[in-house]
Amino acid sequence: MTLDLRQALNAISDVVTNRPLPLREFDQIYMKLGDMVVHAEFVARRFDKGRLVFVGDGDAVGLSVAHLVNERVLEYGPREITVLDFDERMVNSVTRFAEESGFAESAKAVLYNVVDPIPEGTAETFDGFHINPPWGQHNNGESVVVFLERAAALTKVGGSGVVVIADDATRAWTNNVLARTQKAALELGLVLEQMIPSLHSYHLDDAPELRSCAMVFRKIKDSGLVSGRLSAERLEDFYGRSQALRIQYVREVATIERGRASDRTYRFEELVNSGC
Amino acid sequence: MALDANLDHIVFMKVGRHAGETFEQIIERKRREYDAAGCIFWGYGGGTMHPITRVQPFARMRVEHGERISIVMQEILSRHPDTEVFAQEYSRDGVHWEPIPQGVRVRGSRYALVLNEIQHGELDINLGEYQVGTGPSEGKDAETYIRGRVDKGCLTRVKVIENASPEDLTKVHFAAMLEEPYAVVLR
Repeated sequence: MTLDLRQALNAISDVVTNRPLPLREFDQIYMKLGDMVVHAEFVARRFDKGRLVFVGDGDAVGLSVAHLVNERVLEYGPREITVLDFDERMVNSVTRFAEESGFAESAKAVLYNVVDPIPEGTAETFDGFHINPPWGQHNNGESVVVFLERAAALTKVGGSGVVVIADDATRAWTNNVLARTQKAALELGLVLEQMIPSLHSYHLDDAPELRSCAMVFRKIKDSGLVSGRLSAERLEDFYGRSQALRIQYVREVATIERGRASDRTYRFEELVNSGC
Repeated sequence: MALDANLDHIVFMKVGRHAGETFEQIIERKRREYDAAGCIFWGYGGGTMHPITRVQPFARMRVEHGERISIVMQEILSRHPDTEVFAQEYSRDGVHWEPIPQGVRVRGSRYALVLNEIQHGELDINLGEYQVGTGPSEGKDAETYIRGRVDKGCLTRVKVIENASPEDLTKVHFAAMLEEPYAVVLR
């Protein structure tokens, strides 16, 4: 199938306009628009007709995929996406957008923090997973492993999943985290099926050249790992050096200005002697 | 007068006109703030030096090892737009908020470094001696990093270059020490 680039960019633009602004406290940093198109198409193709769970989705890749399919920009894609995220702004933005666009049945979002066991009744119920977790620069990839554990627990044997993490051969820490992730994946019953190196770029001011890869893992067996609450030591340096996971949820503060500029950010200055 | 600053670990920052004030006016106002409040909140913005995720971990780690962090300022021409918006509260963790200390005014900035008294003098630093000390670019050469839109950074000196040529040196006229909590978020 040929992708109509204008239609695809316009569809992703709808999603990006709807998305809440990133919070740097958690290193929420958004993927650049062109890479979002490429990545969303890739995910849609890989998970055609499946049920796909996103464990965290600040970029709104899940919503992008669903919207591309709903707008018939893509003729293939997952039949259902579920987003689990600790940021209520993200959860609400997915729910609102899907309802307003008429695909609420195939795109759901649930408030969930990886510190907790996976939601009841969800174990091994999905055909695929997608994670783009904190990249684990200062905890030897532990934050990636945590997300991977949750994602693997949600996915059926035979299913597969995408892991998006930093990939830059010139930065030793990214190599270490890639190695740790692949080792942990094997212990979780996942084998590497595909890797697309240096695929995505980000609005990251202090490392604009840093890229992430897409690794696809296939779940070949159940690891038997019990999905319990995370221990305190696994939360250390979760978002970076001295940046422990200490926030349960980011709560949305209601405002009547959703979708338009806040009137605290501008004022009108009337024409002088306009004659009207 | 030569600036007396510990240069092993620095916050390097290009500074100039900001929010309707010349750099000289800002310095004078900040000196009055120090007299009144015993500390200075030096406002800044941008996406490279978040107080909680970048500056505090960088500073805390060095201070725990008995070292101090200097902020060194290179004056540049700036066209930062005017604003009359002042921060009302600050937070060291993004969760708990407190009123801006009596006597301190931070204008048009989202973040602030917390400093002691600002010294005026002269100092040459060679960015070629430094690497980025925090964040995803940790370990990158400072000369390559401080470029284009990146005008500030937490840097660590990793070598001493003897007999550097004058064009490799950056003139610095103001410096101060970071004080606990080092950097804060404003609103």
